[in-house]
Amino acid sequence: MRSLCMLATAIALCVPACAPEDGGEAAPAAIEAGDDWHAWAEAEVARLSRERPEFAAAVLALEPTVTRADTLRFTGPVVRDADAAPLFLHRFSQERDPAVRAALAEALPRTGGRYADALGDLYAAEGDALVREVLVASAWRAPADDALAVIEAALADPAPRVRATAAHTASRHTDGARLTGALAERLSDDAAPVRAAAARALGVHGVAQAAALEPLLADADADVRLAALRALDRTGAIAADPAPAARLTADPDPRVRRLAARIASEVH
Amino acid sequence: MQRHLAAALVTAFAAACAAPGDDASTDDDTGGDVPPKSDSANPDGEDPRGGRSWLFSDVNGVANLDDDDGDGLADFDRAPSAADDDVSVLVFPDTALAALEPGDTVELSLSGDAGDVQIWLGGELLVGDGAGTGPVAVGGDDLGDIEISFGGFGAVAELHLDVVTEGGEVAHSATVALRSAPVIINHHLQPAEHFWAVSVGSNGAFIDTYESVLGDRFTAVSGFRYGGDVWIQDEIEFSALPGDQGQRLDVVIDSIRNRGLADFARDMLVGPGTIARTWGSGFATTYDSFGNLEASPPVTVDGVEYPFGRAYYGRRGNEGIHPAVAAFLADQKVQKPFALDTTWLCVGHVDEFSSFVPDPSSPKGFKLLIADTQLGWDVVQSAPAGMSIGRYGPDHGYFTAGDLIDDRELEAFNDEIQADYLDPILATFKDELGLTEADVIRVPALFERVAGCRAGFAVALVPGTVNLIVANVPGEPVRLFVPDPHFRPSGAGVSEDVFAQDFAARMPDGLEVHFVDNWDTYHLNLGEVHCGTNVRRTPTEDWWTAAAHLLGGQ
Repeated sequence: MRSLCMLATAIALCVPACAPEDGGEAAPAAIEAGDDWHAWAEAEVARLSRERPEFAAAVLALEPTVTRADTLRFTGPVVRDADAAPLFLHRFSQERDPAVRAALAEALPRTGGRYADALGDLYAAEGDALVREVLVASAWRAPADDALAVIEAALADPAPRVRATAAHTASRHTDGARLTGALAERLSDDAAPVRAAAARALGVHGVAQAAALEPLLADADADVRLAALRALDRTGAIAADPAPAARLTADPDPRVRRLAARIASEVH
Repeated sequence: MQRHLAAALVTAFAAACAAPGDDASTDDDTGGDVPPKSDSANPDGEDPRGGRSWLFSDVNGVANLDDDDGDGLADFDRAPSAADDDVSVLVFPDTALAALEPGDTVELSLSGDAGDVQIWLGGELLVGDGAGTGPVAVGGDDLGDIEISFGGFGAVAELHLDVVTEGGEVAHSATVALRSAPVIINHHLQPAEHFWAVSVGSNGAFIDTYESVLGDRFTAVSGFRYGGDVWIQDEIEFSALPGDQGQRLDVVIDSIRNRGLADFARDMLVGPGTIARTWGSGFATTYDSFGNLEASPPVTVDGVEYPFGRAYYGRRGNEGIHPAVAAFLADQKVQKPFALDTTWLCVGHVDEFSSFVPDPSSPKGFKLLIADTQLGWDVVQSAPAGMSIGRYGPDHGYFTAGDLIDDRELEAFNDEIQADYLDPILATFKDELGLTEADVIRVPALFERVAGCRAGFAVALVPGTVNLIVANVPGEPVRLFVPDPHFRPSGAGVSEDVFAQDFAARMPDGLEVHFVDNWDTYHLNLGEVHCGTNVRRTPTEDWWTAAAHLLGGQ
């Protein structure tokens, strides 16, 4: 039943959020009967409009500010209110601009309100890679049941940036080690940032994957070699067999050389 | 009138000091040893008809590109007016004029960057841009003070003066070296004159702090007028150029960034004594913002003195500040630029991890402040694990100091940043600026990963305390305006903040630290105090003497 609800919600949300990658406009989603978080959010919007009308109006009208990195963010005291969460979820379902949707996604955890059970649906229905990236990143603060599902889905995302962010989010989430299998699969990803992020995640969680990581010491990409070396060090594999790492003391990348030299000095 | 008096004193003093048999060097009013130029016909400068009165000091001016008379034209584009305070004046001593015989003419010609120079006499353009290089003959009776107007930065030219007799013989020659100031970006040891920040309502505490401490030295810029763009450090870079006759031209380097503050320089800064210029065009990256362009204090590197310090900026591989800006800075010669690796930062600016503060007790007179994540972790661990850290809860997901301490991934992330980026950056600073560890203050800092960046991946988790403003107003204590770390329970004061107290304890004696609340408007928007402030400063060195070795001889 939950799967059907999720599918229905995904379809409902697909209309605005599954816009083409070029950001073209789409119509707002319709509310489907039987939705969990979505129905809750709409009910909360109605409640807040009655009980906290000024607050609700302020959140619904809040304009994002432009960060120094030229991205958008929602900031201010109203964001740090749990009641902002359903209002942001409501706005997300209506918003046509992917940059604003990304800002809404980024703000959700900062409200301290309910958002985690919406992440999977929002991710599944989202057509813009940047927004999916931010949604996945937001999962690091979500409970495991909600977070790990969306992270695992994102590890198979068509966009390399999203896959890499998923791996980084896995490393950041306290239960990310439960995704060892999915992370290990990403060690052979076509995109170097994904391979590097996956290697790093395994190392951070102390998951021994020496056999899968050692080939990455010869990866063409320096970030991958660096991440693999670090992961092997963190998981104790280097101490057991220093030879593969020792060769990297002559790596063309100075970061890799420094790390390899430090490890070599510690081993000896 | 003052310009002429200054010029007359310089020129006459140089002439008077150049007695026969003296060596070539002499002191002039400009404060340095300026060798007078001897004429080509008489190597010892002796004019058989007038003694050594045709020796002139070098002329070191400034580009005359502002609009002192308010006629809408750059002053270089018209004859010098009474209001024009940027021309240089070459005064002919009475003895020089008296030495001319009936029928003598003086022929003037230019060589070198003649297109950036104009020579005026009595309101008439003689040679230079718009009149050719000459020679132009002036009757002895018509010769008087010459006004020299420069039309560019770092111009190097020579004015040749030949006294020609009625019979056509060159009786005497003199050459005057002409040079205009290069563009020199300001560093933090220069006295601060005025401060600007953009008021947007949500940063009331930020603005109030500046107003209460700086008074009328601070201007709150209307955020409504400039689209809420608070990143005023990123839009412009100040430089202040002096001349040897008391001139001063402030050049505001206006970034191609062109967000809300695109028109700020022209609206509020340009006027008599100040111009705005942009180098480069086209698509701007984050690296084109001028929080990513700074200058060190004066340094000596491998025996070479840089009296105006060295310029530095952040770069990600081949992507850095616009090539036109980089090339322009290099062409100025006096602040040999170098690059730092800011690959790792979401915003990518050098002010996110480094700054310089005055320290009169230090041998070099300053300290380099640089972020250090190991120290940051030490500070966090020094706090009680159960201590609430207020704003960090909702805004960063860490409700107690213990939440941070327990985040193994966060610790790993910061270890990586230190090893892969901050340590090498410090090594680069030491190499490029001739610094040792004694010149460095490592400042506790912590970063976190953020998604959705176009560039790198890290931003400040704890407000970057090195991202500060140095307010060294003459006659007042040296003040630092520093982002408040807010690493304490809500409602607690700065005295209970381990990051704030650690920072204050590390600063050189005599610096007055003011912590500024920049959380919502700046920190959560990926910037801090320095990013949101800009400062006009006073030039302190004479480039024509202090940087002569960098500019090269004529």
